[in-house]
Amino acid sequence: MKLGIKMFFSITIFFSAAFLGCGAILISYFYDTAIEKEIESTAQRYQYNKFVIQASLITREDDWIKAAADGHTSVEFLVSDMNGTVALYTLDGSMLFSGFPDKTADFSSLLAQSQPESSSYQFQEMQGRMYLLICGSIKQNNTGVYLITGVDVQKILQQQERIIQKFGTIYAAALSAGVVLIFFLSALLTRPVKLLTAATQKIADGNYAERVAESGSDEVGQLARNFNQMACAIEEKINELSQSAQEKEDFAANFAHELKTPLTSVIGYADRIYKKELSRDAQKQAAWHIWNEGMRLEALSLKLMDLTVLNHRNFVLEDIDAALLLAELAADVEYLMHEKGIAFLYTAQQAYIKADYDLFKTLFLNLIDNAAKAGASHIQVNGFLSDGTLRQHPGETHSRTQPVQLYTIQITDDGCGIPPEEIQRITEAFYMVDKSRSRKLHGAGLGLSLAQKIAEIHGSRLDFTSDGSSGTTVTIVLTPSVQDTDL
Amino acid sequence: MKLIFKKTTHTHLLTLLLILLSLTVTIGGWFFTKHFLNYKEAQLLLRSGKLQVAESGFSLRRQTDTSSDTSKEADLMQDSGAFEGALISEDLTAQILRSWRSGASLISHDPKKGEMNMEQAITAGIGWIHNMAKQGFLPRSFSKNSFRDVSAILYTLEEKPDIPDYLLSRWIISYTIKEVQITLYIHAATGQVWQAEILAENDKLPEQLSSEEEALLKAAFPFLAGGGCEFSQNLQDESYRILVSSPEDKIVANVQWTMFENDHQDYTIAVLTLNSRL
Repeated sequence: MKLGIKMFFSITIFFSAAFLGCGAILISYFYDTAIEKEIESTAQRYQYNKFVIQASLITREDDWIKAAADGHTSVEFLVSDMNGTVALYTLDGSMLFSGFPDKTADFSSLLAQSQPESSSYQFQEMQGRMYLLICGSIKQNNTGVYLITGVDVQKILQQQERIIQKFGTIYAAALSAGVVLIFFLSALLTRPVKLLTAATQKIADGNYAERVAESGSDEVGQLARNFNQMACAIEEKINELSQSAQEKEDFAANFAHELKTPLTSVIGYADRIYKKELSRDAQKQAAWHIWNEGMRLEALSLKLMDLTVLNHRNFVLEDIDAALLLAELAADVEYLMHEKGIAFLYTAQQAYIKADYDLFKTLFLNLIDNAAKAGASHIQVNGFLSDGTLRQHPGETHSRTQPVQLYTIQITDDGCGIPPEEIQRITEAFYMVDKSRSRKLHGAGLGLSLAQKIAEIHGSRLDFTSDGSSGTTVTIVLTPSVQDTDL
Repeated sequence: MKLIFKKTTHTHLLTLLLILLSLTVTIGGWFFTKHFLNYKEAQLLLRSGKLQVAESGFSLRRQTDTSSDTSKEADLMQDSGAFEGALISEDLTAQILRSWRSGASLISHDPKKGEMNMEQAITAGIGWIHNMAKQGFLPRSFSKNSFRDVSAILYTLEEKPDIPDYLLSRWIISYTIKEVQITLYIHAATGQVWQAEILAENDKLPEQLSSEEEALLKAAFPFLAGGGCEFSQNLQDESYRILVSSPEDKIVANVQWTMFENDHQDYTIAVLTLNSRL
């Protein structure tokens, strides 16, 4: 059942019950009070009439009641001084006078209840009208009468009926207006929930970009904000998972492909040696191909092992003098570069950086090797301090940056360069811009992936700049040690 | 699929039940309320019981508790013998008079313990008239009259001041004799006349009534004996009036005269009043 329907009917039931309950209590109270007041008012009239009778009993002859009962005298002179409608009865129950519309009305039960100096009351209907009757006996010396004083309370009953009818009309009007109001109120209150439900349905269907409007600062507004935050987090996570899944898929496909190529050559040449009688030169040629592909496979396995190790080890970075580090690394590669006919130059500004020596060497050699494979004739390495900004707390959503000095290492070559559209992917495992050239040089497409991973371990990343034809510049920005920044 | 169908049916059933409940409450509730109110009305009209004289007038009692009524009522009854009025101080008298003149509404009631009954009040009133007639302030023939045309009502104040309840009641008794109407306000606890109104045609009243005001007031209110007498001037019409005060000067009596004509007949109203000086 929908929430709006539940709210609508529940509020309607409550409203209706409360309205009727309160109305019934009020009307009932009004009626009770009106009757009580009427009894009090009639009692005063009765008391007055009683005094009139009593005064007559005191001041007249004792037998005047007997004379009135016998019809010899009239009691009209007494009744004319009285309040309300009255009836007089002798103590033996004979009627002396009755001003009530029904002269034959039976008051025997009322007379029976009345005792000397005590009066009683009751309601009695006469000719379609309700009367409140108060009766008492009045005795003086040896004579007395029953006095009944009555008041027509039909008007109170009619008033009660009119009030009930009026209340019914008001109830119908209030209920009609209330139902419309409750309907719109329910719709208004449940609208954000409906929108939220629709949004969750869309997200469940795969539309992770769906968001709801955030309005107001109440609980519903807060819910909408929380929902949007949750949707953002889900979208990010889904994207990450998708990317990760894609990368794994690509990795597996590339890995299979990289294995297949050398193995095909190895199998082919081995089969040739096995099945055919080859000359010594042909055997040497085939063996060289098998050795060559074997070397490629070995390089591939070593790089993969390095990548695996990098993924699963925690490295402790130490304060290292960057100038000294680059000098040692340059000394290692200078000879090789010279052998390959590549001019190698380096400059390094003195500064301390946080680095793992072996890892940084691997990173450096991979980048130099990559430049050499790109056919560079000149490779220039520069290490220098530069001004930059540093995110104060990397975990924070809202970045707060502060100006700091950074240590930048740039490796520039004049090789064939990297097409700009390829730059985004060159650090992916097994990705090669020129596959044939790369394989010829025992490349497996893992060098830059490995270098990127090492850069990440050092809190940095590789930034490639190339126009695709005239060389490449790789930039690594490192954070200097505290002692340097203090300097 | 089966589960979804079951769930949908269940939801529809619940919605239907809620709609039915809502209709039952809104429409059925109205009929129930109407029935309830009619039932209450019928119950009220079936009510019967005894009326009891309480301190502030009448109160209602249910039909069932009638056993103690008669004994209580019997306590309130007074025998018709001679009434020995309570003696109250001048100060208390002045306080009672002040509360009488406060304009508080009146309610009638049966005499209570310590208050004179109607017969005693009428007798006391007749005694006062006889005395006034003997002293010549009323026609001499009134001194032997038995007065047949009498009305008497006992009133008390609805809102009680800080004075014992039985001291607040007064009998208002009207005697009509030979076209002279005398209304006396008799304090129910002391039996003293504290106010008198005499209405009659001018020629029916003795000359002495209007000529000797001081004697008239002293005869009307004999308990003021020993007090002083003073004249008060009305600055508007430069008339004088006589004030008779009590020994402690806390109560003062005066008479007011009103004359009017009706059907070519001149009438006089004399109002003899006691007032508090507190």
